[in-house]
Parts: sequence; structure tokens; C-alpha cells
Amino acid sequence: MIFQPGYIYSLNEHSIKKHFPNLTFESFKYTSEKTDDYNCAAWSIEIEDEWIQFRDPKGMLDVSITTYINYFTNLGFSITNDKNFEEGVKKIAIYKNEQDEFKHVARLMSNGKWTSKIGDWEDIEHDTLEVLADRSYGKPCLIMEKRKD
Amino acid sequence: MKGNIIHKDSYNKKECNTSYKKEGVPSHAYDSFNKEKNIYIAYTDDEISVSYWLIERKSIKREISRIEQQFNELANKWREETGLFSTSFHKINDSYLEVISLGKEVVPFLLRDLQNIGGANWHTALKIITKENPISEQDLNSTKKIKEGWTAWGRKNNLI
Repeated sequence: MIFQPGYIYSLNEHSIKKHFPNLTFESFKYTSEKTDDYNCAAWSIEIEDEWIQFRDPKGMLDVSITTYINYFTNLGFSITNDKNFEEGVKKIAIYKNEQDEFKHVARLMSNGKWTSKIGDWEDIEHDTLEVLADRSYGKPCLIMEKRKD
Repeated sequence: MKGNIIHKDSYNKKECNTSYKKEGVPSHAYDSFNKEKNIYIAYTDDEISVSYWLIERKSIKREISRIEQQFNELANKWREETGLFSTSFHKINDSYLEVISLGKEVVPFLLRDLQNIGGANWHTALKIITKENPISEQDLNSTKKIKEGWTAWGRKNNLI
């Protein structure tokens, strides 16, 4: 993807070194400029105008992995062991940290690679789930799938 | 242009601060700090000159610049540390809390920074500092609505 002249990358050498120890410039490519119109949860279900997050009944922000699994389950996703692309099936991969907090979700593409919205930063297409693992995003903990309509 | 005339006997005379000379204060003028009005006043033997007004503006501008500089440094650091996260929960870290600790003086800069990417996450900080909340529950997942809501609030309160 070609960005405007003078575009300043947020996911850059400095931030990659700080947050993603397994990520190299050879293992991903940028697919959008940075934006805060949507986050990774929205991008995983192809929504681009919502910052999807949850609050408990008291209005406190809720990042428990269970809440996110329930959200995707209510959308028709179910847990699977198969992270390979299948025709007619949408797949997402959820990351969590050691405190069982949701940290990130990626979506599988038809070419077998994954697409992720990096918070407020750029979207990227990355070769494997592991390149975003460890340190800031925790680890991918499960795959969910849903038959396409 | 002239500032308000204040009776010179209310102030203690001392040698004029040389920095005021750059503002056009006469070299033979005196200056004094008025605690009540929180301003420096330079005056000559004859009358309070326009320098009084200039000095007041200069000192206030210095104070705002200090807060603004602190905010800018913290906001940049905060973005580097948390911009990758998709939950407001994980964006509230030490840098964010330091911004909140700057208090009410930082509110205009928070409102201005709303327009930048990630700015909607200042919602929690603004709520805590101002003790107000112009964002309805159904709009909390819309960065656009959060930015619009706080901007309207800021304009209504003459902060931006």
C-alpha cells in the first residue's frame, strides 16, 4: 500500500521493537493508514465505524476474555481447533494475556494470512498469528469460526 | 493603549525587572507584584502605563505554556505506549494518570487533542477532571460521537 507523502507510521521500527518482539518488516505489510474510527474487534468482523468494547452493569470497562468469547458466540461464531482457511468459513483468532484479559483479535484472509487492526494504528496483513504474540498482545488463545451467509 | 489606572501608593517600589524593558516599559519604571490580582505592574512616577497590561498577559502566557508543554510530552508518550491497544481499559496507564493529575488547567489541551487520532480516549480523563459527562451510553463506542460531544461541551463552556 502506498501512503501519502510525509505519512508518519505509528507501527514503526521503534514501536515494533517495543511491543512486538516477533514482528519483522518481512512478516507483514501495511494495508491502511492509522485511524481511530474502528478497533481490532470491529475490524475482525469487517466493521469500520465502531470502536467495539464492553462495559459491565456498573459501567466499568470489561476486558475479560469470557466477555469477548460470548460476544463473538452471539454473532454466530464457535470455537474450533482449525486455523486454516476454509472456503465459506470466517475465522478469527483471539489473543489474551496471563490475566485472561482480551488483548487483540485477528481475522483470517482467503490467502491464508491474517489481517489485524493495531489499535489506533494501521491495519496490517501478517503471515502468522505468532508475529504479534508475546509482550503487548499476549498470545493467541483460541480460534473461532462462523459459516458465511 | 492604556491599562487601568491604579493608585501608585498601593504598591511598593523596587527596581524595574529588566525583562519588562523588552515590552516597552520605560527604564525608569518600577514594578510590583499584586498578589490579589496575580499580576506584575510596572509603573512610572506619573501613571500606570500600558506595560501593566502587557506584563499581565506575559506572565499568564508563561503559565499556560508550562502546562501545555507537560501535556504534549505526556500525550506523545501515552500514544507510543498505548496506541496499539483496542480497549480504553489498556490505554489508562501511568502516563494517562499523570495527565489527569495536571488538573483543570489541562482541560483545554485535552479538548484540542480530541481531534487527533486516539483523542476520544481522553473521555475518561475529561470525566474525572471536569466531573461532567456529555456522552450518552449508546455513543460510548463511537469515537466520532465522543469527540463531537466533548467539543460541543468545550465550546459551551468557553474552553475552546
